Amino acid sequence: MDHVPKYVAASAAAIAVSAKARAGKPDERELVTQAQKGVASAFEELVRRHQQRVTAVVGGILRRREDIEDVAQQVFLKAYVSIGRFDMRSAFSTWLYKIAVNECWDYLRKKKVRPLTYEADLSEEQVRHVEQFVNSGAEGGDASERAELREIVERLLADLSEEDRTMLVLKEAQGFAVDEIGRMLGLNVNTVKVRLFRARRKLATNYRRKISNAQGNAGKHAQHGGSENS
Amino acid sequence: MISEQKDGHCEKFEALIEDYLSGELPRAKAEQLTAHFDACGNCRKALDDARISARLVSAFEPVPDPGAGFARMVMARINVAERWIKEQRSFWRPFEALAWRLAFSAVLALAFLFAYGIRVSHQTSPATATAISAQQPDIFTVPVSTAPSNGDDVLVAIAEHHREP
Repeated sequence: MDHVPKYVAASAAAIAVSAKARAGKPDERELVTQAQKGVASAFEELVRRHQQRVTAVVGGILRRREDIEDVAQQVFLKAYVSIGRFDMRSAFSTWLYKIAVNECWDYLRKKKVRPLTYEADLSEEQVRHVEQFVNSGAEGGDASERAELREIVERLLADLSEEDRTMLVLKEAQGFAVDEIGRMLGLNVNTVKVRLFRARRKLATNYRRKISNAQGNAGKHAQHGGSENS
Repeated sequence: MISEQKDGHCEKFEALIEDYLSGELPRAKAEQLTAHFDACGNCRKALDDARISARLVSAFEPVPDPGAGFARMVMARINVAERWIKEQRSFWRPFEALAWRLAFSAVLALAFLFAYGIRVSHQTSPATATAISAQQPDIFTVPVSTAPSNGDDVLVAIAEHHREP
């Protein structure tokens, strides 16, 4: 048994993994062990299991939709290279999400993506649109209206730090739990809760300010129009 | 109960509001907090803010599953990367790298020699050579037709040349 060539052992393990997969879903720990031994099919199964959540993490941090899949693939590539160093002290998903978060920060740094700053106020139509969305429980309309809504929310989020923005989006849009976000970002659960609370207040304050500015501008325009008419 | 106010809300409820919103708070604690919201305008506003922001951020739709092709794409990228690494670690790789370096050096040397050859051939063209020789002082005053035919004649010619003032 000691003299079994490596490739024979690997293919035997692969057969065992696929047989177990046929019988039922193999245990994740076992898949990780097999992947660490170089069994490609085991790693492929891990990719399949985690691709949705990893893509959600990447999607929560990056703004451009076209970058998300490419960066998510890069995350798995890095995980494959360093899976030998994964010591199973944490869940495999946590380890993977940490790689995803770091990869996204690196990507933003390399691309020199700066937080967007919007000084201009919202137009009357934009205010009406966003107010309608907030006050009604309905969806944001058709695809173009939803895209416009996302742009408006992005403008409102511009004052938040990159990490606070990430926390909010991961929690509210991608559905991650507070403890998952904490593990991803290396923060205590209570810290995440408090920072989420403060980020929410800041976002709501921005929203109220933009609304009142737009309403003030509309009032001025109306007054100006009235005085011109008289 | 509401002792520590900061930024217009009760600081000790900051973390609790998160659990309250997500419904993770134990029943008794949730009821206690509801009662507090009824009594405290600032905390009620904080709760409203949290609800508004949650609604705003929900404009970002969840990223959809990338689909069945994703895992295949990842494995294809891994295969390409592994092949590249294998090539880099091959036994012949250092020799190959050395051969490329030698070839490059040889091409460089040939180019240098070629350039040098062209330069030299330009410098020693017949017209230039005549011009240079015309500027040189004539060492031998003896006419070419009476050029020395043996070693003694040479010595005599040199002696005569030195004797001249």
